[in-house]
Amino acid sequence: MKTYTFRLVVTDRIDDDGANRLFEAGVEDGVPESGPQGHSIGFDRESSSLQEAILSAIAEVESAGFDVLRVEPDDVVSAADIAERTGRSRQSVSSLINGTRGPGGWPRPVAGNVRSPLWRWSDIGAGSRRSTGRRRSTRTKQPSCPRSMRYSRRDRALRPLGAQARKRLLRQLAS
Amino acid sequence: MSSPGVYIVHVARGRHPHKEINKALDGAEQAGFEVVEVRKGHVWGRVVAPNGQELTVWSTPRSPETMAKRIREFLRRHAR
Repeated sequence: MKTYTFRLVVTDRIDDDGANRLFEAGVEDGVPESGPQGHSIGFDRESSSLQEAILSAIAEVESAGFDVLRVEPDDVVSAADIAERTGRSRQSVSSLINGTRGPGGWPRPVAGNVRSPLWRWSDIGAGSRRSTGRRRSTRTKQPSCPRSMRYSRRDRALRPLGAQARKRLLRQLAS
Repeated sequence: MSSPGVYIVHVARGRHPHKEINKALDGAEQAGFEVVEVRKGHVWGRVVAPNGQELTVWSTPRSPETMAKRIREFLRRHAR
C-alpha cells in the first residue's frame, strides 16, 4: 500500500460541524483547510492505487455534504517541502536551486516572495514524464533536476493526472 | 498551585495530546499564526494564518505524524 497525497477542493466553507461530519465519514487522513484562499481537504491516503484513493475520498467528502470542485495534486512547494519530499537535505536542495549543483536551469518560482519562494512540483519534475508515452516532445526538454530527484514510483501521485488517467477518472465519476 | 488572590485567566491554549502535533502548534504560534483550541467532537482546534486561512487540527488523526507535517506545510504556504 502506498500513500497518495492530493487535495480535494470543495465549494463551501468547512466549519467545525462540517469538519466533524467529514471525520465521521472517514476523512481521518485528510486535513480540512478553509478561508479566503479557498476551501479544500489535503489527503495523505493509503491505498492500492491513486484512483482508488481519490475516488474513495470524493465519496466520503460528498457523503459529508460537500461538493467537490476539483482534484489537485499538492503542487505548490517550498524549498523545505522539496527537501522533505525528495529526502534531500535543505542545503542540497538550495544548491540545486541556485545552480551550484545539478544540471542548472531550475524552474522559476510561481508564488511566494524573495525570502520564501514557491515552486510547482510538476515544474521541478518536468523531465520525468516517461510513462505518459509522449516521449518525443519531452525528450527534447532539458531536465531541470538531476535524475535522482525525479519522480520515484512512490511520488507518482504528486504528479498532475495525465490525460488518460483524467479521462478514466471522469468516466468513473460519471457512472 | 494558585495562591490566594491570584486569578488564573485562560490565556493560553491547552496542549494537544500528541507531542509532535503540539510541537508543530508551538511553531505556528512562533510564526505569528493563531492557535485556537476548539475541542468540539473530533476537532481539537484550528490554526489561523495571518491571511485568515484556517486549518483544522484533529484530536485523533489517522497519523499524528502526518498531521504535524500538514501543519508545518500550512505554515510555509501561508507565511507572511
